[in-house]
Amino acid sequence: MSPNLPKIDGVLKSTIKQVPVTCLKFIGKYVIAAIGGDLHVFKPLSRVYQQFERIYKLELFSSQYIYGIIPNNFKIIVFGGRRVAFIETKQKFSCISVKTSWIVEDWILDSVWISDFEVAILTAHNVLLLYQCFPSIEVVSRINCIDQCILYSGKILNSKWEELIVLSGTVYQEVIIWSSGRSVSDEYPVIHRLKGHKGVIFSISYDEETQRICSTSDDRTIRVWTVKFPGSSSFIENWINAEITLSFSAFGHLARVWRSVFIPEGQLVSVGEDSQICLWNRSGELLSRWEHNGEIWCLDYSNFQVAVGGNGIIVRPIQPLPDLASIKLSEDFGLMRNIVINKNGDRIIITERGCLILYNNDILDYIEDKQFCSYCVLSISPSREYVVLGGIHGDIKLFKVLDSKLTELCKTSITGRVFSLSWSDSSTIVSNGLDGSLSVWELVETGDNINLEQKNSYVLPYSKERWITCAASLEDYLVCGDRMGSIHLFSSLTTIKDPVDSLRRLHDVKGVSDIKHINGITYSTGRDGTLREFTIKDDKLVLVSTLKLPMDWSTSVVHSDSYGLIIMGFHGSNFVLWNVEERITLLQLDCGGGHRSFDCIVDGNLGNLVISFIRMKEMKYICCPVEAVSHQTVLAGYHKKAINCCCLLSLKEDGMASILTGSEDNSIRLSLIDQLDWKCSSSYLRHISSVRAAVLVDDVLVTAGGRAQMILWHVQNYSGETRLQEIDSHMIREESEHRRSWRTAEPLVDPEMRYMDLKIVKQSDGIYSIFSSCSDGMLRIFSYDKEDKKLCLINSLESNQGCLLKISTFQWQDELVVVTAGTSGSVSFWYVPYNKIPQRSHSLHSLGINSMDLTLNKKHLILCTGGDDTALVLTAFSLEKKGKESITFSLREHVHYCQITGLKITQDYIVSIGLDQKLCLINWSFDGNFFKTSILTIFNSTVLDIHGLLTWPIINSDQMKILVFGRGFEVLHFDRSKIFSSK
Amino acid sequence: MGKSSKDKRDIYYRLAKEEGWRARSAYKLLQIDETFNVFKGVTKAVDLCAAPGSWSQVLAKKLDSTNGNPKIVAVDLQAMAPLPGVVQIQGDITKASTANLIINQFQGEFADLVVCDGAPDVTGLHDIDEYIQAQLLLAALNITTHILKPKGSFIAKIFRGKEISLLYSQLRIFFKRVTIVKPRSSRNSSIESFVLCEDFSAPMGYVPNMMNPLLENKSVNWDSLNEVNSYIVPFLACGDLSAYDSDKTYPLNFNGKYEQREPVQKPIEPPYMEAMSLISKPGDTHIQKSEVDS
Repeated sequence: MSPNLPKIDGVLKSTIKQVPVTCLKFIGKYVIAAIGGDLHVFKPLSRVYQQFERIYKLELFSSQYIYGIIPNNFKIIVFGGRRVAFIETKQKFSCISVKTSWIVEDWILDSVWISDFEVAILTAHNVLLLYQCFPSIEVVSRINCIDQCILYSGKILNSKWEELIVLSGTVYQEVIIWSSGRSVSDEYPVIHRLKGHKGVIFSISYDEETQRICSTSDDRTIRVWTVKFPGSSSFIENWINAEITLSFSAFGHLARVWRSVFIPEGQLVSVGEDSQICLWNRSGELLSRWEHNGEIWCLDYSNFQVAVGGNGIIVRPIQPLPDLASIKLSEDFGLMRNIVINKNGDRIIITERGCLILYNNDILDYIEDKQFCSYCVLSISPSREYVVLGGIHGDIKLFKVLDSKLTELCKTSITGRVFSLSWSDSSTIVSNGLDGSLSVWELVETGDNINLEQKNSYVLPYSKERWITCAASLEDYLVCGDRMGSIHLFSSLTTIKDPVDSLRRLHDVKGVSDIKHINGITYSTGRDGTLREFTIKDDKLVLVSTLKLPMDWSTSVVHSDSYGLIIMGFHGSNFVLWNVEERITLLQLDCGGGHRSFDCIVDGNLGNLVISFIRMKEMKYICCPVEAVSHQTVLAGYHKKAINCCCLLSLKEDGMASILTGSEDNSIRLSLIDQLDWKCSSSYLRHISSVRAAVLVDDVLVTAGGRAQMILWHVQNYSGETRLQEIDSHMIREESEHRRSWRTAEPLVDPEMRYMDLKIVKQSDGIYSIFSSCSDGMLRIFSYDKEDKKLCLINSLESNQGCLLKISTFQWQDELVVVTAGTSGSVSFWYVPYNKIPQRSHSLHSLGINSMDLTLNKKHLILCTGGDDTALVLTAFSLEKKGKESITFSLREHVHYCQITGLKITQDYIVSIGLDQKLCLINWSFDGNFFKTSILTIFNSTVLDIHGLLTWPIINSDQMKILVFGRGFEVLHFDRSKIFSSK
Repeated sequence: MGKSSKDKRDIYYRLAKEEGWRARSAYKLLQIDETFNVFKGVTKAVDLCAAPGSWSQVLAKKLDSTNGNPKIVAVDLQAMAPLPGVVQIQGDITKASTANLIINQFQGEFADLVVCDGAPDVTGLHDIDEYIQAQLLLAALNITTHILKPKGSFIAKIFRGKEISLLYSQLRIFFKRVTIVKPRSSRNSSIESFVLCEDFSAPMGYVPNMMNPLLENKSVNWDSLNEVNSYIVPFLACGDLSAYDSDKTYPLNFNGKYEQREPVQKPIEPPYMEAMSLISKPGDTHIQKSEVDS
């Protein structure tokens, strides 16, 4: 079988690509982005909050990433690797067509238009090529710099072929400058050498406005060079005689700096491997810094916005935050204690002297109340209409702002001090008095009057600091979070004053800070920096999921119309706004840390971001449009690193598939895959290391990976949405870890074992067996009983196959047989009872086995394996004698050039994929003695670093989906009918 | 990560420290030799992109010394710590002067073996990395055509990706036998492999030329190789099956009491060293001004 071209066309069609964005460009208000070898055009929708929609998609290069987009009116040159395409667009991108495309001798770094049908191209060997692209492709001229080194980056300036200036970024520390207009006896010498970098130069940009060059490098710096022209009339003479000096070197990135772009007034934006977007001023001071959700490969600037691409695409305004206003009140009022913002943006402040102040540009009103002197709790209602005050002697007063006046609506009181006042919904307040006594008050309107009526009372369990910090009402329940990190559930249906259920110390001992019901889901967050989701079932609180937030301490979870779920919190001395859905930081603001009175509104009635807090005896205030500080997502990203494993959760009649992906970024994500689109629905960050395997039977899901961590989940359906509920987890060294003191200098002798692969089998009702292959060469067997909800390690067996990369199981004569494959290139069979080491191992590959699938064929087991030795091996095992499998026939195929990482075998087909990005579809049959195979088609996938594949049938059809995963994923549509019709 | 984590994860990293190799890559060359006997009869060897020097160490230890001391020349852009029995040249492998310096070391004779374990600064985007690695290999091949004797061997690192068959065809122009080999000490999870090129014989009319590298050498027709797919690239594993498994996690005390060791050779001034000394966490910033901004 020779690995030749596809036999049948159109059998496989790529429908979805989710791969790194490697290039993007603003053309007018449009964002043109390269996703793999495709060009996508996004158009902003003009609404209050800018959003983007994709208006065009052009498939340009098959499996070659695009690295350059060079527009010239309605013509665009697009290049990637050695490929170039010359495309034309119609007005408003209503149509894009490829005029011509060609392959260049070497990797392309930059290109400029010379005329409407000529382009200059700079290649990675410091060669300039002049191409005529119409009517036929022709190299008109080829010149090279005398320094023929490998370049990582390059920039061509000017648009006259005879007068081009080339800035070349070398592998070794230098930017060299040469020109097509400066030759000495047909050789093109270097006219300037910019020395200063300590490593590879990854990008070079030039700003005509300020005449400066910026280079970014491996050495984690951006360096800006000033070009002083002698003032000659000739462009070339000016460059030849220019004086170029290093202006500054700026350190701010924590890893390599990939790209930079100049923006007006000589400011700069740079992006790096550390996912940071940095804004620098003219003299190299860092003005702002934002973190992107994953890798960044490209950026562009237009009209005070930068577009950043990599893991998805975002557009972000680049003005730094407006300055904070600082207001000092007259000393007569006393020190400011607490501050809240009402719906009009007015601030309401209580001072230590008991003055309640209404402020907006000036003091609008104030009331002095001795009851609230030196101690006062202040709380604003969710609608930001009412404020409630509680005093040291139990006084509670309700206020509202009417016509810029603070108006007292009613008052009441409790015994002893008011420890806290929490709004559990827009008209309910929970007050916390002595000994954990909780009173539930409702705002009741009678005529023009509003009164507080006590509805219920409960008692908080005993604890050191016995008061609640937040509350939420849900039907007959009241959920409260307390100062000690516990969550309590109270029910109005019983006469019991104690909680009907509690989740003790859910948020560590640092305290719960917020509980909310948002869109039918109950969330809690706390000073432990986690967001938890739980449900209430039969008077019980059930924890559904936990998300570790990228901040020390979160203060609240809120829903915003433009961003969905948002977390507010503090990290170090910064206030942080974080978008849960996109896992991205919206805003960071230095406020001095969380130990202060602080309030913030995101897109409330004002459509603005309003922040106010007290710092150094001053009231700070900022109000600006949300889009001025935050980003818009043009294209959603996905995992930050490669996807290691993928598992099908459910398949609907309409073809919608729900899948789970586990990644090197330690996270698990759930996604919905449609015919032409996909959407990530949720994400779980519970693994502390790379997630390498995920398996599902019924609703029992097991995930496992690095640091010997395994988690068992139940897959649940909440109002049509698939969610995971964590049931149990297991770590091999959990116990020794707990007992170990940090003082013990001796390192642990236990290995940092990685689970490499998993299989799960249902043994009987509610009883499951989990087989895991481990990097220490062990086969570990777990059992799970749905009754007691425990995952138990029941057996650890040592193989002699090296690191066990893959595991499979099959049923043979009512017994379950386990097959393991390792880096030794062999497979072994394990029979019941699983306590004996296999008698034999069958050496099938000369290096590790990276993929394995099997199927039963009458009396034979057909095992299909793919390895690092590039071979695809089909082996028929005879199983006639129990426990003594033997090879009947084995066939080696050489269809891949690299490691084979994914395999699927069905009764007729084998689908294989490898690091060479080739997906092979092979037809096979076995007559009891020999195999017969033929290649049906070969498809080049766009996904880099491919880790495997997942297939699923399309219900009631002869079609199948193939999902290839690695650095992103690609979904292919496999139309089996095309094969039959061609036969 | 604790100090011992890397030891736990990687058996060869630990062994290299225990056995005095400057890098774990030493085992890769040792295992290639184990299977293919590449050092047999070699008395003059060149190590391109030698730093930190583990392959030079292997050459110094393993080369045939029956007919007098073997001659080993190590070339790198960077300086590296001296090694007994190895002559160091600090130079650029893309320069003709470097080729001359090497040949001078051999008193005008050519080398029997050229090795190159150089890898580029990996960006993380496989297609770029693969391309740069291929270019580095071709640059190494170009200088090799200046310094290798006919029938000599060349061993170099390659990244396996979708372009590997093209690269293979390019190498076949210069060598009668080309094999892609993967030592067991190279991780299963790594795209790295090695290319073993034996029986050097340049094509008819080929004149080595530094000013005019392979890419545009008229006697070498690269274009005819474009999109070549017809070769089945020979691929072989090397190293003893009983050797350690680089992907397997071994307990720290698997062969006696574990002792934490420092690496034999610390990294030589990495490009980011200065940056690391100036900033350490997000938000840190530092400016070095070279002139007063007007």
